[in-house]
Amino acid sequence: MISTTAASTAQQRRGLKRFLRHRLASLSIVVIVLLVLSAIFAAQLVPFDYRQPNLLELFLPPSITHWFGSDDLGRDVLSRVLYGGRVSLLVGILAALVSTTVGTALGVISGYFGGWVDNLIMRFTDIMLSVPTLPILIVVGALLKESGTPLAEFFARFGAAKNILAIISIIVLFSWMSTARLIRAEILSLKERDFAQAALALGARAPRIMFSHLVPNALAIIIVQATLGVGRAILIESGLSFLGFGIQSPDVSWGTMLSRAQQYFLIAPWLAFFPGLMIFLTVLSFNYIGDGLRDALDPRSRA
Amino acid sequence: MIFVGLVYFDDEGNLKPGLATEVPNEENGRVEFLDDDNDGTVDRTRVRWTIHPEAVWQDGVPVTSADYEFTYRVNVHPLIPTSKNLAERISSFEVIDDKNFVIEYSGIYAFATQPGQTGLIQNVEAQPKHVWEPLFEAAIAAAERLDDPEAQAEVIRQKFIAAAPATSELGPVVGNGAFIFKEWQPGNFVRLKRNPQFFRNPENVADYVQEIIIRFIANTPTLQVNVINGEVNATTSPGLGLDEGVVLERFAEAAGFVVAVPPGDKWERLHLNLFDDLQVVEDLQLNDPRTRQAIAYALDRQGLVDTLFGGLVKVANSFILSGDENYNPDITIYEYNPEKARALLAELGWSAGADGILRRSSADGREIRFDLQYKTTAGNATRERIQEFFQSNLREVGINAVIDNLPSGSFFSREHFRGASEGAWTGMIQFFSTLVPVRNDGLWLNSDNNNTPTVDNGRSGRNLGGWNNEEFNTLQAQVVNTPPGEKRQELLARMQEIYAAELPIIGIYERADPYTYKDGLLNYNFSIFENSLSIEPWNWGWSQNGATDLGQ
Repeated sequence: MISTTAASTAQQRRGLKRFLRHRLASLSIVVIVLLVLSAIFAAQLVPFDYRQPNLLELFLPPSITHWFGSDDLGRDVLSRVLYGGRVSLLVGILAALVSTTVGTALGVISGYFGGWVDNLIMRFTDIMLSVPTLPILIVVGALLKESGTPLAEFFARFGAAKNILAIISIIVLFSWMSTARLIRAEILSLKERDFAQAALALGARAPRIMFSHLVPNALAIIIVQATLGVGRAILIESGLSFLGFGIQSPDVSWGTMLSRAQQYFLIAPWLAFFPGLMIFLTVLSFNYIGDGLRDALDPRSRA
Repeated sequence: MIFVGLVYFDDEGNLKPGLATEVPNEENGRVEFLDDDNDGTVDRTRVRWTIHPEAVWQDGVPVTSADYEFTYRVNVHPLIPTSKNLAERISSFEVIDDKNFVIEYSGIYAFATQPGQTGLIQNVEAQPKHVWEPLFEAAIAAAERLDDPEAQAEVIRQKFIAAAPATSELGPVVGNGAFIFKEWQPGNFVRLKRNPQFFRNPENVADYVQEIIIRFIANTPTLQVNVINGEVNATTSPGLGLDEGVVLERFAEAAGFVVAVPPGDKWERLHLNLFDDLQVVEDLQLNDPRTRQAIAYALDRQGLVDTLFGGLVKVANSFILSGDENYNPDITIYEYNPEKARALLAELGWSAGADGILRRSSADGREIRFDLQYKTTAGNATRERIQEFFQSNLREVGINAVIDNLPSGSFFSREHFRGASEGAWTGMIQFFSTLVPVRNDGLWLNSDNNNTPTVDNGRSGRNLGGWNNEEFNTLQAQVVNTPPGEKRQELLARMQEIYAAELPIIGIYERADPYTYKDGLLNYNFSIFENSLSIEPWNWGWSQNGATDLGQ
């Protein structure tokens, strides 16, 4: 028992070392930590009230007073970017985590059991992939808004958090499929490998084989999917507000800032630049972190 | 452009003769309000039209009374799927000779001389009888041989409506206006050529625009870029939104084009829910005019118009356009005054809580917070911008505006839009519609109960918030039966006073859609009173080609 712990601690230390050797991944961790901290402490950091319009200061370019300029209502863009990070990072990270978990679970079950289970899950995945997103979003949105529907009542229980939860649920609903497919394909090949066959021969049960042996070996794909999912979720959120059930003013998110900025791109490009930069930094950092984690965790790369 | 009406509105809302020799009115004896039984009420409205002697169809055939009579006959035919509202008002259509005809309307009809009122489909002008009558007769004969209404409709569609020679493949459209239809590539462009025979063409017509290519650009940023880089010579109204016009204005001088805004004919406005049998409405006392006045005082509408919209539009203070002769300039104006708003709200028992939001206790001892639902169509950037601005205005006086937008399909659905009595929306909704009574006689601001949408009347009517004021109702009934003139003006003046005191609806601004044209393009004008592409397109010309500026 003691020796196992020691071995695993040693392994962890080796993994950490490998991760830290990945310079971009380490830097990305710093960036994400900074972004998260700035979102958490937005209230202390913001120079202006992010909700307060100022008709005398419409469309000011970046300056000493307004580092990121001011927007179409004269609000300070820096303050809005900091507050917007709260929603965007929360939605991005949570939605990516949940949709990757759901996709992985379904993919593993589908790939491991095969047969009718596989057929059932994969055909459902195909249906979800082929369903046009927009009309469904409109219907789901209407169900969420209409008071009295079971869906609306379910989310109403969460009080103030209901909007965010609804957004995350909708994003998850439409983004687990590609993960499920990729993982299934990977599991199909992994389960024929010696180590999986050996586990089976030693009498390991299905859940143990799936989640202790197969999933760790598919971790590389899972992590890449999850990191890509963060950026996708942040962008889907902005589309939802367009349909009236995303973030509503006075709340703000990078996505909503970006979609609103399109209209003024000719005269105030900074309105698109800063929230765009934040999304870009977030997505890029998560991708590098994913890279680093894959190198550190992939059992096959443990030389 | 291809067709011209008997009369048309210029950009100031004055009627001008198109194919008619003059605009009928009481002074020239062409309009008569007849009281047959001498009981003091008008029984018939009679309008005599004369077609200009030089008016000809583009194939050379003269325009005659028979063409108007034919178009009227088509429109009232039960097998032709058109709105019969207008046609039903007409009690008789009498052809006097080739160039003169008389239309009679039952009762008083104050709008009988306005464009599109000749018993035709709204905004569709007369069609050439010699082109269409054979098709029409054949289609009707074929349809009458069938019993099934659906089959009949299909025959009418195939043989008459869709047989419309509307595309270049099927033959040219025979119009009567300044431009001849040449080519149409669906989804791409329409090409028109000058009709040199048109009798209202300017002198030296060769110096004026000879060809027009109308392109369809659906994507607004693309359209903006096309305007800035000179790819398009002019844009139409409606076309660009106000925000987009304000953006383009910044490039106008350097890039050599003009951004023009016609006066608004629609009003963007806030309807409040006044059905106080709803708990929320009663709690917030929305049915008390003082609450509505407080909200109006809290909103910086002038600031919005002056800065966000660059002063291109006006604040809407009445339900009548501020430039209209019926507008009453003496009504109460609610200028931005948060102090007054706070005072009114305090009078109603509200006081600020720790979070700055107003609270009061209800009669049954509940604590009520001033959370006001605020809905509009989602995804409309201009509206959302206004909404966010007003949200912060309202917060200043302690009202928490809760934004809850819907896609426009859901927003305007009968269940939602006309569902205030059941609480489909409980606070205020924002949208626009045409100001009255500039263009038609449908005074929508009817506070009569028949015009209030409820479940019982199948949610019909336009009095969305459920406002009810007896004096207003009485005046309304009178005004629709009063011919234009001083008496009518007095009635409308009093109605506006009541409206402004009661404020069932809070006007935001008189909405107008800007258009653009390159420097040097002359007489390129839009009238908000017309639905056609532009007024007087026959005068369009380039200064560099020798066209004369008519100074419009």
